[in-house]
Amino acid sequence: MYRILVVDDELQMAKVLEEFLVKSGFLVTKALNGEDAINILTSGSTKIDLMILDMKMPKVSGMDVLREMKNMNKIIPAIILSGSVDTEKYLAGMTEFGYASGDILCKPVDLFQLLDVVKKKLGLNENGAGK
Amino acid sequence: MVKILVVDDEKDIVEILSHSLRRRGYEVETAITGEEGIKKAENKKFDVALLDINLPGMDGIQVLEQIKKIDPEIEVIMVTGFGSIESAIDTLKKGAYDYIQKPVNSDKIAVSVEKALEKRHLTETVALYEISKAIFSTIEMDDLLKTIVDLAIKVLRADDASIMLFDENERLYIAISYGLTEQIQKETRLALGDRIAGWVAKNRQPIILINGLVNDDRFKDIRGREDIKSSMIVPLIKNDKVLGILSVNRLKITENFSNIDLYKSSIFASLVSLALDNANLYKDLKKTQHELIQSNKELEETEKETLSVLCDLKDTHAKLKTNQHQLWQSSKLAALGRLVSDMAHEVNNPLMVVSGRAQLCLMEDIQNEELKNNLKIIFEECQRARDIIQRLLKFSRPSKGELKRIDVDNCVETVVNLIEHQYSLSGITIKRNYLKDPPFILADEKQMQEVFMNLLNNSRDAMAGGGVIEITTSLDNTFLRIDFKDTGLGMPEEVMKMIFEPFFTTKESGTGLGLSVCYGIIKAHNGELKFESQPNKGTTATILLPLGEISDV
Repeated sequence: MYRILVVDDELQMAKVLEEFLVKSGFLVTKALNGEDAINILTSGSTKIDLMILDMKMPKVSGMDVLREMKNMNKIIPAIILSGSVDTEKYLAGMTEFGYASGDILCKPVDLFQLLDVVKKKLGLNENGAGK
Repeated sequence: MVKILVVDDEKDIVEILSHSLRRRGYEVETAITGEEGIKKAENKKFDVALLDINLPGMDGIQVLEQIKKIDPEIEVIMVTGFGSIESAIDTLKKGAYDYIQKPVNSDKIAVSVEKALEKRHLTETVALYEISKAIFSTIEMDDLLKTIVDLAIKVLRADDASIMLFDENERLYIAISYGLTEQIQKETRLALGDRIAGWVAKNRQPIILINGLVNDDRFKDIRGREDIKSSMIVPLIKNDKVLGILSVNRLKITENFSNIDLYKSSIFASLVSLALDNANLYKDLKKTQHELIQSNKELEETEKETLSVLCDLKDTHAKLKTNQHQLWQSSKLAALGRLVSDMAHEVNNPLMVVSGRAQLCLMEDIQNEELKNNLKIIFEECQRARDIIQRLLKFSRPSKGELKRIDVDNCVETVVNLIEHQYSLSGITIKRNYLKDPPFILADEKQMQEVFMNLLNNSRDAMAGGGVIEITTSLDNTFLRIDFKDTGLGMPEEVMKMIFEPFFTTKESGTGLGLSVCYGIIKAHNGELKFESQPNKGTTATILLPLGEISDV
């Protein structure tokens, strides 16, 4: 079972992602802000295989989380959800932290489209479940 | 009184002649030898001389030459004996007026003298005519003054002459002179009444002075020139105004100026005054003309400048107006863009929650078809909302995207290929006027195609009953121009004003964002998008895109 960390400061967003991913056969851990996300990722108590990261969050942003992980040399596969199409400003940072531009999805995202990207990132075939 | 000089060595003849001439009222002087005759001619002015051709010592022909040299105006009648006819004819060539053969007949002599006097009179008239011709052929003041002085010396038989005129302070100055040093010429300034010239100007009366000033009570305190034997000072008057003073002096000529000379000089002076007045008028005229030409030039210059300033002003005004409009348009779009961007960000999250929830529900095994359908509609409408927001964002922050060298004809043709068949089903034909081998432009091909598609769709929507779309590519200065001309409904002015407004639409199902997006894209390419339209005739959409530079590749 793969565990996915969902990071979004909006509870409803985090919940809909969680329910969908659980239904799709994944384990899910939620974080409602950047600080929590960093704590979960660095504590080591929970193994995270992939994170779905909101960019725009108060205090610690998605970009901050990526930077922190890069600084600690812990590169974890990530899918970025952006609230705007204006992804250009994230691209430089993304590339710097080891992510491809294809890892950015713009909200609102079709959940099944998200699922495809998740599976691809985890190296699962299209019909495979989260096992 | 007419003066006659008789020169003959035969005393009898001298006596007969002088008696007969005096009887006729002439003043007669006589001489026995040629030398004596010449001496008399030097000291007095005679009108006629009777000259014996055969004189002892100096002969008559030589005497004739000498006398003529002294006074060119004197008329000489030669008196000849038998056998000297040939010499008599010779004298005529040398300036004699006539010859009379001895024995002398007093009547014959009288006739000849009268004729000579008549000729002399005529000569004077001719001389005056010649003077006036010379004077009036010269209009430039400096040349005229020189001509006058030269003529005065010749006509009034003087050794030197000068003219004084009034300066701007109404003081007399020497305008031209023969016989005065430059120093005196420059420094002399006389007030009315000062010295002799001043006196003449004030009293408007010509005077003759003999042997300088000593003999005249009026000027006894004034020191004159020692070398002057006699002089004549004449006022030059025109229209009751004294223009100046003419002075003529005799230094070597021993004969003094006479009243006849004064009379002559007054005629001369009146001619001179007229000429001076003319020259003054001419000078004024020339000055006025010059000023006129100058001011005309200045006026032309000013007019030119004004015109160019006006032109610039017009240009600037037009540019300002265009800029203002563009600025207004883009500032409005920019403000709207920020709003849309912020709004999109805020709306996208709940939108995703809604669509996500709908998708989650649809993952359940739902038996109720109506419920299922409702959920589907919720999801689909969320997708639609997403599309609208995407387009809004695109126009609010148009970026140039990926710039590449583009062949516009190809780019247009790709879009036309996509739609042509479908359009033909609605009765719409497409005419192509492509610029073969157009210069490249730098643009984002996808964005350009979106613009073309948008414009073509608008044309199609305006031609419900079919029609023609004419696509023309051409060069317009440094721009590539693409025209989409349709034969559709056209737009009234109120609609034209609104076409770039976001959310403005005339279509039932339109978002009102099509042309806003097009506008944003073309602007981002430093181009222009404009429309011309006539209701019921059609609309032409024109795109101008800057040509790519070689260095841009």
